[in-house]
Amino acid sequence: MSEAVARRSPLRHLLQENKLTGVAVGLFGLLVLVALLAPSLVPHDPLATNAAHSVEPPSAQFWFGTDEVGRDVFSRTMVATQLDLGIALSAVAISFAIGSVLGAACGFFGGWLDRITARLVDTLMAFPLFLLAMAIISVLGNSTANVVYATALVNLPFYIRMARAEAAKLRGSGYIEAARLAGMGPAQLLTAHVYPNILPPIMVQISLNLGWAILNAAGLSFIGLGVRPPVAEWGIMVADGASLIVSGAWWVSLFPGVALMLTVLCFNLIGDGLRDVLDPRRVT
Amino acid sequence: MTALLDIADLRCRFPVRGRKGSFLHAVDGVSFSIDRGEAVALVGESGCGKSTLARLVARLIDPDSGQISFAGIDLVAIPARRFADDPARARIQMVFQDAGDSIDPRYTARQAIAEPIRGLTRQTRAGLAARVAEVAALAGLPEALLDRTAHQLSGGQKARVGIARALGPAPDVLILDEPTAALDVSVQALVLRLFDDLRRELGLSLLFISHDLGVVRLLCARVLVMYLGQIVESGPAADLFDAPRHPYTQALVDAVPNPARRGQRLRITGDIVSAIDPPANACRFVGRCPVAIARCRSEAPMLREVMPGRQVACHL
Amino acid sequence: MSAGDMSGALLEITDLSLEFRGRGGTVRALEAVSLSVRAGEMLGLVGESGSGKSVTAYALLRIMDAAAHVTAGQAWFRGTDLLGCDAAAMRGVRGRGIAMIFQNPRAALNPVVPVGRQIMVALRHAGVAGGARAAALALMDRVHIADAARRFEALPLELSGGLCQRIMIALALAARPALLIADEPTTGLDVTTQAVIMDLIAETAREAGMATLLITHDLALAGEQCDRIAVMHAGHVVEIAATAAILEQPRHPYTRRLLASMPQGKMALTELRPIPGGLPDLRASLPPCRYAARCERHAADCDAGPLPRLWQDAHFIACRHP
Repeated sequence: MSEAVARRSPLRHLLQENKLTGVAVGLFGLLVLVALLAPSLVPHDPLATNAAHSVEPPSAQFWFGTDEVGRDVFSRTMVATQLDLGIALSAVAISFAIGSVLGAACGFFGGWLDRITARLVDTLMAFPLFLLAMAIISVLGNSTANVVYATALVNLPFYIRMARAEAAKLRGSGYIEAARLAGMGPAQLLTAHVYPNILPPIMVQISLNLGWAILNAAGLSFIGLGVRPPVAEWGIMVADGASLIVSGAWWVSLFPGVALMLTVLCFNLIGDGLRDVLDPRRVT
Repeated sequence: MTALLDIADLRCRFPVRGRKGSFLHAVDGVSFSIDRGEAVALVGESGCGKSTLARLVARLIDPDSGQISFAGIDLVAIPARRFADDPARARIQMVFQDAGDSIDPRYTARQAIAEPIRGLTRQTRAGLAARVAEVAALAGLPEALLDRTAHQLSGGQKARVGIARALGPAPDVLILDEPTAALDVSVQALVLRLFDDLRRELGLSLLFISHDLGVVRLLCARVLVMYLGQIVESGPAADLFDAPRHPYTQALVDAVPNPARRGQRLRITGDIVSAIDPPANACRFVGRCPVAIARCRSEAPMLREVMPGRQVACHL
Repeated sequence: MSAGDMSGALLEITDLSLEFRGRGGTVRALEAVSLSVRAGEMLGLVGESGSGKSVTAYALLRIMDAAAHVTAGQAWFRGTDLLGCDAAAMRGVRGRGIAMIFQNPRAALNPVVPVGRQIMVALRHAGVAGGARAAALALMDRVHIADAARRFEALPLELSGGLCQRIMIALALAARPALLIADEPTTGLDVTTQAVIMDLIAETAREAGMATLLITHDLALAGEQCDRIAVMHAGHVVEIAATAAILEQPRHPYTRRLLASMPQGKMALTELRPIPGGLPDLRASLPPCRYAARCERHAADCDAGPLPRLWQDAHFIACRHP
């Protein structure tokens, strides 16, 4: 009991314990690869219309079939990976960067900063978040950048609250007192001891949040408040194909829909796996 | 010779949540002094205020009133939140009760020990490394363990990291907040010997806070007994244990398990009373004191000198 | 393997070996542990952290971690095979035959149920049907809880550590067990409260004719309260004897060093002799005597054959060169 086990590489530990997480990480790797390489490797130009081949089922020429204006669904689905992943990653990165720092400062220092931020967060959270995103887009206009900003803003309270709770927990820790004895001022305490120690639980949430961010972006595009056509994006593609399902053209919506589902599932599984690494007693 | 550390009439109270006008009197008029190279014990149970007193002396929190004078410098004049920048910060350091909690879980022992040295002294890279090695050796921490993190160390090893870290900035006063409470008996003995060696070799003054009288007796020359924010008895360790004058001290002495004495003992009944809004005109021990008289309920006893070097706050 | 006069033993543990199997290896936490508790006596099980004293108690009541596996040995309590009986029989033993109180009483109580009702639950488990509330109040009186009627509805976090421990003792007494296992019951409490709680445990044990297994790291505490003491080191029982014999004529080198490293009476700091080295790594392959590496009486033949375990006039010792 007085001896301790040397730490194994967390990644190897993670993959050995949880095969499902290993699969998810592999899938994530694949997604990144597709996002990077798809634009150069796809068989057809994702934007090229072809009226002669409108709404054709999957075939040897068009692997996933074509949509209403004859565009290759496969190429569009693959190319959209880059956009959707990009939107999700940027939005979450912005939310996290601002939210975690602000939340940590609020949780650790309290005072007027905490009070003001709390009111701001309460205000934001009073709105159903998707509606808030819709409202922001309608004011700012449809564009990829605005989708990113809207998603980031709507996500912000989540990170602020999480960081604040974690930082408040740390406030009474022995090592914070010890650091004060070592001559550290408040800013140093925050950067050297508080922020690094609140990151692990937030990392788990980032991963789960990425899935949500993609759904948010796709959802906005689905209702026409997101990315503008003819850009290839999963949400728009599902919207385009929705009206065609009734007439039997299942492939236009299905493939982008499955892509969306797999990506979100992948992020959620990675998030679960990260949680297991951080707290081995809570194996899901 | 003036004392190195002089505390005079220190008071610190905290407002009670939800009860306006009510205060928890954590430290209520404490005075004592410590000379250079002296080991003084502060003994008391939970709720007596010793942790608060430790943090007041370490200048982590501010008192409401009173004086803390260190080598002639008035420490109260510098507020706690600015004390980190003061040159006096390096001269008073603390060893914590829960050594594991007092080390950042991401830090190695080396990094934890280096932190105060880097923050409080001017050192080159090489000088820093040398100093870390020096204090680690002083604390009996093998070089090989320096690159381990807290969870890879045993209780005794973590305690040594805490001690090495406190020694880094070359302090004059070391506040020891129940440093052996979480340790096994055999490790405890080693750590106590270490404190004594350090005291003699480096001329360190020690303020040893504990509830364990057996341990305190070994290490400290003088003992202060604290109850509900006040000092109720003080004097040389041996005298205090052989012939306690205050009933609470007697109860503490009797509470130490002693196989040789399975019989008659002073046991205090009732539960610990809280330090919220204590009565101004009665002894705070009266609800639990087995030998209380009428006067104890109507008049608070003052700390008075009954013999040279011996003070008691009791009517009897 | 027991002394001749162990008839009337309430609890008999024979050659108990237990290991924890996990990713980091197999920890041989207990090896050939044998001890017994007679009706009505208080046996102190003394050892440092990692010695296996708590593990022994948990193994008896089968409340161990899933990673724990008993690899050998038996434990008999009043005709019941504790390690081999089925779950229903075990439930009958827990609380009714053997009760246990733990360190950190507040953590062992249900935080959202008033303490009085928790005692009533224990009483119902013990078969007390009607009048459970009155019986619960009576138990609270028995453990000297002042103002019991008011404290009945209190939640554990409203009570002090000492009071919570009294509630635990009341819970343990509810089914009138024959054996009480007290696992470090006073560690973590204030010194004066420790003394009062220990007195309470001794008093209730005496009144109820209950045997007690007191698990503690404090040899002085065991010396003050117990009739006999068993000393454990790194999963082995190294010495068992009457209290006076352990304190005045310890035969095992570890017991002697343990006594010498504890502050006692008017000892000076320089007289305090700490034990060198640390606990052995219980995952590694270990010599027959696990204290050998730190023992000043270590000789070459200590590592050769199996560890001799002998009883001599009601004094047990596991040492080749005592």
